[in-house]
Amino acid sequence: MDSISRKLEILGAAAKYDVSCSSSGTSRSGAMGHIGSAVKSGVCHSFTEDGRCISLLKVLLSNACCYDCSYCINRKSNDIPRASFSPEELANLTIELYKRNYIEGLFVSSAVLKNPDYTMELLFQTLLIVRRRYRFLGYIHVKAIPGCDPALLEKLGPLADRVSVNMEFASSKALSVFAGQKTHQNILTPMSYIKNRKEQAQSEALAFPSAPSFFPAGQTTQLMIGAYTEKDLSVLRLTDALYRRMSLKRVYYSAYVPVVQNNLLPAVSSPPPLLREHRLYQADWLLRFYDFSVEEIVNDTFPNLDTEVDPKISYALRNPSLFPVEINRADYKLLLRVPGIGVTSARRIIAARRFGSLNEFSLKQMGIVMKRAKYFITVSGKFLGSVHPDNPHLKGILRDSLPCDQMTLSGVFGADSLPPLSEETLDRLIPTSSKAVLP
Amino acid sequence: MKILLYDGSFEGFLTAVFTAFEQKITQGVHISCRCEEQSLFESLIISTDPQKYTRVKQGIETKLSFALFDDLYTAWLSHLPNIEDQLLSFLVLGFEMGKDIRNMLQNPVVDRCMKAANKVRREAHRFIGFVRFVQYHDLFVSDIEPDFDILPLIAPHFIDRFASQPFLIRDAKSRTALVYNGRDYRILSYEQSPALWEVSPCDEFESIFKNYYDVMAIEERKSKKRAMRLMPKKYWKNLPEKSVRTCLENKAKKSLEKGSAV
Repeated sequence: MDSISRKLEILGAAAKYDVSCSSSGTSRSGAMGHIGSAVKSGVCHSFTEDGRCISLLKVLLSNACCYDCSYCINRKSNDIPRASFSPEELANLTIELYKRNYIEGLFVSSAVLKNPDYTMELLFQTLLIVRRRYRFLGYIHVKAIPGCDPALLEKLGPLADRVSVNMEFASSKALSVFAGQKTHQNILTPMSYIKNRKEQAQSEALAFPSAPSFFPAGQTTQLMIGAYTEKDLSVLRLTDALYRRMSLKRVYYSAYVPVVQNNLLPAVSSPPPLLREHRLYQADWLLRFYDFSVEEIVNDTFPNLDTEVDPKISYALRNPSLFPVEINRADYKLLLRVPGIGVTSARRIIAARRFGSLNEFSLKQMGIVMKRAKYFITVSGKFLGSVHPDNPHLKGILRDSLPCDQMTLSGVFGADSLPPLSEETLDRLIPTSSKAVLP
Repeated sequence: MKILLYDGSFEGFLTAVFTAFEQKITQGVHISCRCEEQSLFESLIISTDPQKYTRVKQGIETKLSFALFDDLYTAWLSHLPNIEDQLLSFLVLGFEMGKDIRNMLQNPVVDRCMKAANKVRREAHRFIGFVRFVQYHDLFVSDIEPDFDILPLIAPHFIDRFASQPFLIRDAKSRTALVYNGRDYRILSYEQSPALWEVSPCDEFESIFKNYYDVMAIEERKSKKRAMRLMPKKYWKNLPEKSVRTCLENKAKKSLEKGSAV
């Protein structure tokens, strides 16, 4: 067991920069003679000291990579301990941890061993053992290696719940500078194959309920933030396009943590842009749950998210003519635009309104953040804010008090680190590529 | 002030509710568990009656809703002080105004009952993740210490998930244990089956997971405040990754001390 523990330490540490760890999206009952089930909302079994949920056993099958991507800790030219699980070892470890309720399932990725197809075949072997020999019904998230043959995705589809292939960067040029062996072409091809194949599987399931599933919890991707100075506009436009055209379940953002020294990337001592990552997630939420369009959040005249206030407040301050809204009459869509009113609060307001007018006290009880909302609403005609929505001082009043550990300097990185590449520099490095990532 | 004392079970509580409605004393009555209070005031001992329990249950489910009955039960599991009286008022209000009472969060009684139910549900959901098993021969054993009485809520999840695998979950706070033999389950109090509490098994996977947990954190993103909010200290006792020494290390230390003492 000692060698397994040692391998787990190496291969668990190697996988931690892939931030996706959700076990949500599928619902599956247990069955006699099997072990496991899947809960629609997902379950957090523990929380790391940086506040992230530990839901799945998140590991690399191997970190002995033959690629040399400049940002990656596992790159070929980096001098670190290398390890690999055999498919049997990983399958057994997963089941033993699952039986003790440490995990909801497995998240397995891998460095590229020999070539993408060979690596995918090993992942397939692992999943086959877990599902068939151990009769496992819990959650599995598998990574697709860019450039792999769709035939391997076809084999993995019925065995895993979720699949992801990482976009890494919003710009194709950045990708070719930092990860020459990956191209957006060989990332988007599997993504698009999975999307089309899933649609086919869904319509088959309607006709034949016992038809095999194909990645039932869908696919996701990850973008690194801050390795170069991309605009939030590029990131969010890409996010929106991926949700609409690739039917992705989630786009994850991972603040770039400098782990290797490289002239083109921020220095190892520089802090990761956590605040920016946080703002991007807030914007992502607005796209998915609050019915915002990308152009409302960021656009050509306002291409980067405000660091001082969240994107919803930023929108309200830039569109003061919409406010204040009357809390006892505004419809659901308009309520969602009010800073301090979230999806749950908006639903509660609509439900409670049927029994009578709401007053300030009942709003607080229902979870509305009056500290913010009061500047944008009237309660039975009464305005409770100290200044009106179009007042230039309002931003100062609403500004987040930023906790010290999230503070980043306005230049994104510390003064003594190398400045990251700008989009213009990338343009010069690779003059002939087209600008947009997705047509 | 009339006082009704019930035996501490949910069936007993609903029997007391039945009595309150039957004797038309739903205002100004205090319902409490016999275990807690010895009262100087006039009190009536309620003996649990399954028929009365069923009548109240069906009455709520048909005249109000299944969801409301579920809220009532879940809120009762919180055992918060005076929750029984709050729940009685909640029911009275419900029968007056209909099943949508659940949404009338402006009303302080409704608000308190729904919040109690939500607290219990939230804790039950967390424990689905925090329950940790240790293998003891062919049985998997777990110890937990929740604030609320959540075993009845988490039982269906673990039975479904572990199917043919027998397990035992011991709740140190309410001193009850959930036993599952691969086919049926029981929730037994300590008094009913003290033998279930005798074993304290250890498992090598505690240290395997602990090592994995330690390498998973990204140094640059550490935030003690956030981590504490998501995983409060009160739960750390039964989480191997949060303990200074694992169970096996503790046992080794104890046997060393015993050896040296002799």
